[in-house]
Amino acid sequence: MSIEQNIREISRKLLSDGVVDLIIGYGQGTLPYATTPVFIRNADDVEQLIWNPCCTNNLALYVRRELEQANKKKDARPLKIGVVTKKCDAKAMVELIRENQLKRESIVVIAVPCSGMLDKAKLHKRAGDRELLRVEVSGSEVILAGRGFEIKVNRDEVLRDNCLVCKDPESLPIADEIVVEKDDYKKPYVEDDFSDVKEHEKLSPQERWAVFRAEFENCIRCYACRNACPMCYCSECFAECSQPRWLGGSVELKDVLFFQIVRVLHQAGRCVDCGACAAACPMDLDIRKYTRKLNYDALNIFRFETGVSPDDKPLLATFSIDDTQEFITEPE
Amino acid sequence: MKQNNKPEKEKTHKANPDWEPRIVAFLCNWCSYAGADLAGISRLQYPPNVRIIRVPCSGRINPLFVVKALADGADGVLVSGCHPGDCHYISGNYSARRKFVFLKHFLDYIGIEPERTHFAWVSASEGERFAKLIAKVVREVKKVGPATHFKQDNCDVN
Repeated sequence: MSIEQNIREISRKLLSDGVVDLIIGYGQGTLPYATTPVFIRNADDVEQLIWNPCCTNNLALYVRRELEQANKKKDARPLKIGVVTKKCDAKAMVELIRENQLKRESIVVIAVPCSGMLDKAKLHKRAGDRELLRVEVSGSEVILAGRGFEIKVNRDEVLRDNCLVCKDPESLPIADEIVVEKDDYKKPYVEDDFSDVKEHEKLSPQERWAVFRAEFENCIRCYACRNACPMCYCSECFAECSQPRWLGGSVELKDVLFFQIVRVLHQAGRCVDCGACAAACPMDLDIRKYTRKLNYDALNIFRFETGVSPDDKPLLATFSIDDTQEFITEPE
Repeated sequence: MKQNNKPEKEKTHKANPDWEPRIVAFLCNWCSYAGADLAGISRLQYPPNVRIIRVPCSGRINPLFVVKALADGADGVLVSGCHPGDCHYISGNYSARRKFVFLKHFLDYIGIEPERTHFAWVSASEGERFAKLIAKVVREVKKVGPATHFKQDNCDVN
């Protein structure tokens, strides 16, 4: 039995036993390397569920949205959702539980052992920006095929960067149903020492601003990063707020940079580094470079890591009298 | 979209020694604003570069305000509130302090010089401290010159 079949079996059982009303998982998307979230309410439809190394979306986003919709309806019985969960989804759900956006008892976590997801930007680059019609994974190899070409690449080399630094992707902070099947491929693990952040800090302020500007000069402000992020759930985003209107709606660079700075700042102490923003970006911008700085600071200054335990309060919702003061300006 | 290959503009403050920075100061109603008031009624001299915005508490400061001030032409931003332990709302400044750590470090990380963003504590009885603080902030901002990060000629994509 494969992981995929195991997921279907668990989902079928949960639905037919009436444990959950809805299963949120991955279905085949319109592109060969893309998956799309599927919402299954009927046990006969579980065949739509798939599992492959392209399941990059973070489903925690949809779980929160579905529960919010359901709670709006009066006198409906509380909705219970089964979620096909890899480690980043679980971490995001932990953070949402902490922020009172989810109730632990509203979800049934179907824990899937993840072996790293493929980076679409890396796949495109390997295929020389030619159209990909087939992406197939076998063991430690990925076969990329299109019109008139078929190439084999090493799976280690096309994994997302955040998957490489993911430690122990098989142990989830929350789990109810466990998928026992395993992938025969084991992803490499790179100790995350934030060396890229430290390197960036060595540049001069002018150089750092030039890097930042050059990165987001190409941003088309489609808001895909915001919409794909499980932690971006404000009912009114500052970007669209009209009273007061904080920024213009065009791709004028000033507005783009302003939007990106504030969007990233909103992730302070919250980002689970699931890479959903980077995966959603149509311009393949290096969005993680900036959220990683916040994670680095959270770890370095507050010894805080996201997505570990659903019981603590969020980092910025609490304080300690002994918090750092080194950055405070003293008049003398 | 075209790449912006314009050479870095000569820092105008070197060419123009008369340049004076514009600094936006967010002061909490209960301590720092009263401290500024005391500096005024005590006839203490301090540089006239600050534009003061009174807020109920330093905890009211959304990092967005600071970025917005910089984006709209401020050369520096100061946020000042009650000393830790003295918050009128008990813990507003403690919550603010955590936010400001991330804000200050992040702005530094993307290349907005740390000399431009300042966080401080000034109580209602510290008129002199307020005057000295403003003098120091103005000195610091003058070191790095006019903020050009969000200026049109620096942001022009055409």
